[in-house]
Amino acid sequence: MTLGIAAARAEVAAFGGTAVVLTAEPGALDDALAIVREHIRAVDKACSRFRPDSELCRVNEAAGRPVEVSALFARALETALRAAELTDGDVDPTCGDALIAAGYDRDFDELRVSGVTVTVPRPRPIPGWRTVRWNPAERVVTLQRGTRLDFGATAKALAADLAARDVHDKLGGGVLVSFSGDLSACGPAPDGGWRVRVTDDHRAADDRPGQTVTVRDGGLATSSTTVRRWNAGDTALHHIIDPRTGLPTQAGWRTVSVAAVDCVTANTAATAAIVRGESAPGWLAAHGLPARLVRSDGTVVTVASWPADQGSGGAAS
Amino acid sequence: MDPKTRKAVSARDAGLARVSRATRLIGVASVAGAVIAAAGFAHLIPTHLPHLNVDDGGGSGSGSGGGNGSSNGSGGLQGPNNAPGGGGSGPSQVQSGGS
Repeated sequence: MTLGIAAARAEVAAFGGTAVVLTAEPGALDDALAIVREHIRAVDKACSRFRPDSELCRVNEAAGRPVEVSALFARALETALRAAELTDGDVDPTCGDALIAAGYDRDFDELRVSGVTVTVPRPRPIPGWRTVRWNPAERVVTLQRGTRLDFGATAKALAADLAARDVHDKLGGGVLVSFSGDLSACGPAPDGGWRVRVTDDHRAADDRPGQTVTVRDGGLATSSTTVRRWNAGDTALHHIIDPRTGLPTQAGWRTVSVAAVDCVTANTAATAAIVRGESAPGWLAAHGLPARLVRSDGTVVTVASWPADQGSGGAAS
Repeated sequence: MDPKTRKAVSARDAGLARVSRATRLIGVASVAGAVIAAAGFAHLIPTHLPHLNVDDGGGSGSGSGGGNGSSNGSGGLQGPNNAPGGGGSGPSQVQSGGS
């Protein structure tokens, strides 16, 4: 599919959602897609919580014992630990057990069909990212007994960054890679930049509430509590865990979009903002991260140099 | 020095020499043991303690083109090289939303 000014688009399934690849040079699309598929396969094999043969499952099952991991898993782990450090623990990779306790114990499409087995969500103490023992020289990780890692806040974004960089390095030209709305752009963008619709659900049509912006490079990611939701008994739950309570966050932002130097940073900040609640706009502004935050009632707040949200009645801070 | 005193001094020197040899042996054995233990359990030593390494300098990033350094080891939460621009009214190419 050819778009606007010298750009081409392809869409494939990935990570339980949709991957979109855009290339500024239409002729580069097929090769770019092949490269992106390799990254999808590799990151899924390393980091999926729902594949019994993944490295992540192997590490989780071996909690209490040292495990040697691949270079890609090491990268994903270091990225997750770094995200925890930079957010003062708001984005914590040791929330895996809390997610399972909340009912998110299978691939979400399966969960949607078969329903949850949990009727009363109970808070599960988070071991904390500082309990992860990591030896980068030996590439050996040791989890405390009972700890389960989850890379949900960083692995998909890392995959987008790696794939976009790889496509640009191998093929030249501009590329944008999006995994379920977490996107990374690398190389020269088409005239006017890549046009991105920011909204609650990455599968939403253009006429749904949201805002269209343009990006030229780096990352843009959106975290939301509106899509991966389920009910446990009478309680509505979602997939973003507050490490301080061990339960899904109760903060007032339903969707946060952040632009950053890369997709990992953008997604880390967006997820942390959901967890932080009311202090999120000030925190994002202090880091110079342009962001768009949507309250539960639909009110929009924009931060730093995020473009004004026309027609939303939003506020800038 | 009378023979009795000489014998006593000789016995003292021999005792000191034995103690000295034993001390050296224990020292060497300790060092060897520490090296063996360190080698055997090196994988359990948390040599990477990111929480003790806050803001360790500017971002490493990946150089050209801006962005996509993939945060690993970079300085902090860095904003974009180019802030998003207004999108006007045309159709979008891709969505960013919850998943």
